[in-house]
Amino acid sequence: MSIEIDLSGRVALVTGSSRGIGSAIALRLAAAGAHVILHGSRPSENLAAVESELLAKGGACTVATAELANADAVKQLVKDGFGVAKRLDILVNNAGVLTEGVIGMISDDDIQRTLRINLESALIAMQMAARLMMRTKSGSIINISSIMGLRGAPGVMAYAASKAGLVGATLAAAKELAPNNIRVNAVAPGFVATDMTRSLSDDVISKRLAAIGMQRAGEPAEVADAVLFLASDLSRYVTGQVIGVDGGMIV
Amino acid sequence: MDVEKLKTVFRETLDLPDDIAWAELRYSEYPTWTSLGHMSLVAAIETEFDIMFETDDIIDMSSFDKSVELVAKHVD
Repeated sequence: MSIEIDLSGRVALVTGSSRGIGSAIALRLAAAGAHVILHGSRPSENLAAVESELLAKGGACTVATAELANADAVKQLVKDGFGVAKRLDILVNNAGVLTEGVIGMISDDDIQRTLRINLESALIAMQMAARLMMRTKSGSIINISSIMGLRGAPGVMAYAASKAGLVGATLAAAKELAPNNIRVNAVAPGFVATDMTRSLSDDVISKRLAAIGMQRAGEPAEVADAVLFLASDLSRYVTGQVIGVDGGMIV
Repeated sequence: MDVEKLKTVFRETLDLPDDIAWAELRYSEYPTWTSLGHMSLVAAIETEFDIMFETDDIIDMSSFDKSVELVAKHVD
């Protein structure tokens, strides 16, 4: 006997799905049968490659571009996602930028950009998605936070603040939207092998790996599996939770 | 704009009696038109009229008469 996760007939919007964790999530949800709205800030080879891979595997998707630092663009993105099939069942707020810098040397622009893309865009998308999900009295919103948002680390103050903000938003929204059967959860990845983390210095990478109980970096697909659980009916009574996917990382 | 259709949405969502005084129906002054009831009302109106309000519209929707005006803005 086996348990099959079936998302057929459902529409999922995954922000920042042109690469890394976002693309892994998009591919997982599509493999389970969801129609996935792939999102990137602009048309790119990466986004086209994810689309091709998803379609080649028999999945269904629509490609959308929007600059998440622009509030109106975020609203339009969610509206367009809804317009595909007149429903939105799953929202994954994954898009994010990693800004590094010691305190005292982070530019105002970097702080603003990090908060806008990582946090503000997610709040706007949650507002829009929640309204659309209220129409069907069902839905699952999943925010991709970070272990840095829960525990912090030197050199990532703005990033950690944005990811901690996502946790607060998750907890508040989960309470408010539960009566409408809309679930809101977060996933907090640890150190995952992506282009984003590969951009870190060798010294930082070594320190991060040394702090992981399982002694290896996580894979994007391992984060995607947690998202798949939260998107599916297997988690139908789970809301307001933050699932760490970090291999026992201690920060 | 079909005002009767909007009244039906209000009646069903806010559980209003048939003899409700529409001109006096205001947000937070009627027992079922709470903040949560407001969002359910918005969802029901958007579904029924196949529209999507702006956030400012939702904030401005403070009475039935104002709702008529806002829905008309989107459908007419």
